Amino acid sequence: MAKSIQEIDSFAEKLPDDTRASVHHASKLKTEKRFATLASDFEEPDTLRKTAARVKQHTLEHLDEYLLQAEASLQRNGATVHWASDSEEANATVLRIMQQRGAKKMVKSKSMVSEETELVAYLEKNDIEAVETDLGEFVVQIDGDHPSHIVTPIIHKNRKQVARSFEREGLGAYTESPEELTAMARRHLRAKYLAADVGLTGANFVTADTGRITLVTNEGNARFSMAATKTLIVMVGIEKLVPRQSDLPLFLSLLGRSATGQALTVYTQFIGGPKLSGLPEGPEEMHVIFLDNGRSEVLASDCREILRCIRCGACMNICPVYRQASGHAYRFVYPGPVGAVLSPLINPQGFPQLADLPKASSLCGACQEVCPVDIPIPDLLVRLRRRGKLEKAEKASINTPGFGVWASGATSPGMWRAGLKMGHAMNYLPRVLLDVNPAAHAWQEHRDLPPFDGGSFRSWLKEKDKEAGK
Amino acid sequence: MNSRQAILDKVKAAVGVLSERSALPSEDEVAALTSRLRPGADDADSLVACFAERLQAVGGVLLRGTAELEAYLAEHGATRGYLDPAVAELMGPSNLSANSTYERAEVDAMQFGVTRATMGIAETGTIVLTDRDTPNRLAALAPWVHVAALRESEIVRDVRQAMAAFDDDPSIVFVTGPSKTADIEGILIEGVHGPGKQACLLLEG
Amino acid sequence: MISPTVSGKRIKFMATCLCDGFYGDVAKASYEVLEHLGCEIEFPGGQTCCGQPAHNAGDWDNARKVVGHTIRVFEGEDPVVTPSGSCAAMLRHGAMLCLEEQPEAPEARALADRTWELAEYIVHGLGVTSWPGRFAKKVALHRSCHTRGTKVYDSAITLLSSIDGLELTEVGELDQCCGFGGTFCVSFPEISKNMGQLKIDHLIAGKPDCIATLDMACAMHFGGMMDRQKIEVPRMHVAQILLAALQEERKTA
Repeated sequence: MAKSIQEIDSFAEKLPDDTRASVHHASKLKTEKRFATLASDFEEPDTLRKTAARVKQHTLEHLDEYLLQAEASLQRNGATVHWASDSEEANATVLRIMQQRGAKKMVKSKSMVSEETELVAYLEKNDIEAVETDLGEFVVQIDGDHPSHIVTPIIHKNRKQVARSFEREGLGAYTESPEELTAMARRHLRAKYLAADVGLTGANFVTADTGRITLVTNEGNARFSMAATKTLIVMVGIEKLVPRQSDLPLFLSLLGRSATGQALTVYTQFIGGPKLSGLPEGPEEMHVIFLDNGRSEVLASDCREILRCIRCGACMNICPVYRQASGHAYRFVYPGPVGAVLSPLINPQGFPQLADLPKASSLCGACQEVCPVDIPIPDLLVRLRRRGKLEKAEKASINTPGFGVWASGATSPGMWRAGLKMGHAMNYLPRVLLDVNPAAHAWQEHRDLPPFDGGSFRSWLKEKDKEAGK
Repeated sequence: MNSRQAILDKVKAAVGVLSERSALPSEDEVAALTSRLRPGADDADSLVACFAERLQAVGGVLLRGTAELEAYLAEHGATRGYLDPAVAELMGPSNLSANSTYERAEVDAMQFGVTRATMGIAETGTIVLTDRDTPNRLAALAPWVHVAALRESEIVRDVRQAMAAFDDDPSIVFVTGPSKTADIEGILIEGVHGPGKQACLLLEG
Repeated sequence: MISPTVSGKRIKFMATCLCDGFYGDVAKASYEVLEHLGCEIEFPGGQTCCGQPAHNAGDWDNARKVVGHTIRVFEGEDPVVTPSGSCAAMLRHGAMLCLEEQPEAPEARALADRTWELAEYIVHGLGVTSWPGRFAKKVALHRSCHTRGTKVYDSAITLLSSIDGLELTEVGELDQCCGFGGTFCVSFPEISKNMGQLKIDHLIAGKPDCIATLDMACAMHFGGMMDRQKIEVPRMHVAQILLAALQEERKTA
């Protein structure tokens, strides 16, 4: 029979075995490290998560005030603040800043928000060289690929693939040694830093009270771009604020452990403006671009909790569906559980195009259990499923049985009991007859159905009550 | 209408309809949650011991005194490098031969950089660098071997104490071990863009 | 989630639609275990389903009808006890979600506060922490996802590990879902199957004599896969193990 298939399921089915194995292995490893460090370092990790959630929720619910405070603090620190409603405006702002300085070359740190705006493609079209400096993002860039994880972009690739790409791009001879591959990237990118005019980064946090940009990396690429270039541009989503600098120890404790199982990421930078005058290296000017790109609409929706996200990736690492399907299955910048909520809400193609993402979950709740800001992801997925149903989104409805008949039966005890009795007939039907129903077909492809036993408990109870003289 | 006003208006409208808004947990409540130092680790000796242990746990190396520094650099074949004059003064007389200036043109030739750190954090084995104390950002980042010089009295208990001591320095960097990646097959490699060897020269006083 | 408090031993028993349709023995075992504990049990005959399938699928219009029916069937003050972590989770959490800002919201809240999963009710509602009798088998306990954030799984461990002769085997990657997920298992059959396989491998790794579950929905899915693959390790609800231990005791007494 003709099957209609959910895109993510079909993607998972076609995923090469070695890719699935890479993704599964790396995600599992990070989940185990996260558990080990959080549990050994804190008696009650849950209290940390829940308090961080309250700080973020408060911030979001007072975001107008905190944005104004952050803007004033950043300006006081000597940064120029820009605002962008959408990707186009954010990209154009970057280009304008570069053109005003006659800048032609950018080195770029990993920034999910710039993935969202497709900044690199935009700059390349405008004759700007923009080089990704995070090792994983660099591989993605030279391969014309997309990241499949927000923390480890090439979780879907193995060393052989990286080696072939480096050989092709002239970085060095084929080698399967990760050390040698890393050394090749170090040499190649170092020249790029030293030749660049502008460094661009994202931000992990912006403190409203002190106007500092907090940025974490393990490789040191963000640090390097801020040592070697004269202009710093920070592109940041409007939801990245925290009220107080004193909130950061809590968030940093959670971020490193949740992302990679580290107590602190190797480099944690607190940037409070251009370099001091008289110093030889460092940016002479600093620009911060606050990007909305649909976030204010998410804030107005019943899924606003998703804006608490600090992009640690723990939810995708633990997600059994992500482990099977890998990041590209989610068809936008943010994969996994967080992406299944965020992507349909902020993707420029609009909700219906990604309305199947919230369906790709068994609602097992592992994501919320590991989330450092306790986002009720399963609830938000269900809310979006409701939206898909209400808006009759075609992609959401594939292979979902209707519930009308069931609801009639389940609200009418008489019909329900009759159904239980009649159901016994199913035991005498050849199972092949069930196959006309797509849901039954999908069930039977890999599983047996237990024998129908409808109403046996009720009959037993009736008999028992009779014996007891009730 | 400009985008600034448009965004602020939309945000204001979004939160304005909420029937209740959550309160911000107090600074004390947040502060109480985060330190993982073992109890009783507040005296100077145990702070140093804790810092040393955790620095090594994150792949850093602790050097006590000039002789150890010289031996460490020799061990890694780092013969050409930069020694910040402020550190040289702190160290006193030594046999170390190094440049007292760091020029961008020599980035590839410089195998080590010895620069001044501002603080150490016992909780995490972290070295804190600032623009004021480490005026050449590249010297502390580009060489394969970086040594940050610190006095024992500059070690603080935890991240919170370190952050409480922030002034208006525009670039404060926590360095917790050598530059790392696990991008290729989750295998840990040290020395991506920053130092592959991160040491701390801990001096008395 | 804080477990609700108990008000005496009168309870309402919610058999669940799966036990009503497929697993009558599980409902019987649960009932007999509660009887053994001295509970005065009412089985409201009008009960059907908790409403979770439609709720999870996003069909809240139909879910609300069925949840509303369940609220009416189980109205009153007595604790509602059910042999399913999943149905308990629906009444404690999901029902309030789909009824938020609806007129029935307060009733949904009240029902949530007195709903218990069976093992949790025995341990935390009745304060029973050790179980009599004997069950001389190696048991692999499946941690179903809907027991997250509750005391259900730990309660089952408490009871099972107290039974004479019973040995719990190690199960790897406990936090991973078996891949059932309601309509998920038929909407995403490939992913669901792979998740099920990983779960089966972990469950049988310790060579158990049987697999214990707190949710028949999970067991129907991975058990159906095991049957298809002719993996002959029986699946039992925790209530069935408790009853078997009791029967062993009665035999020897």
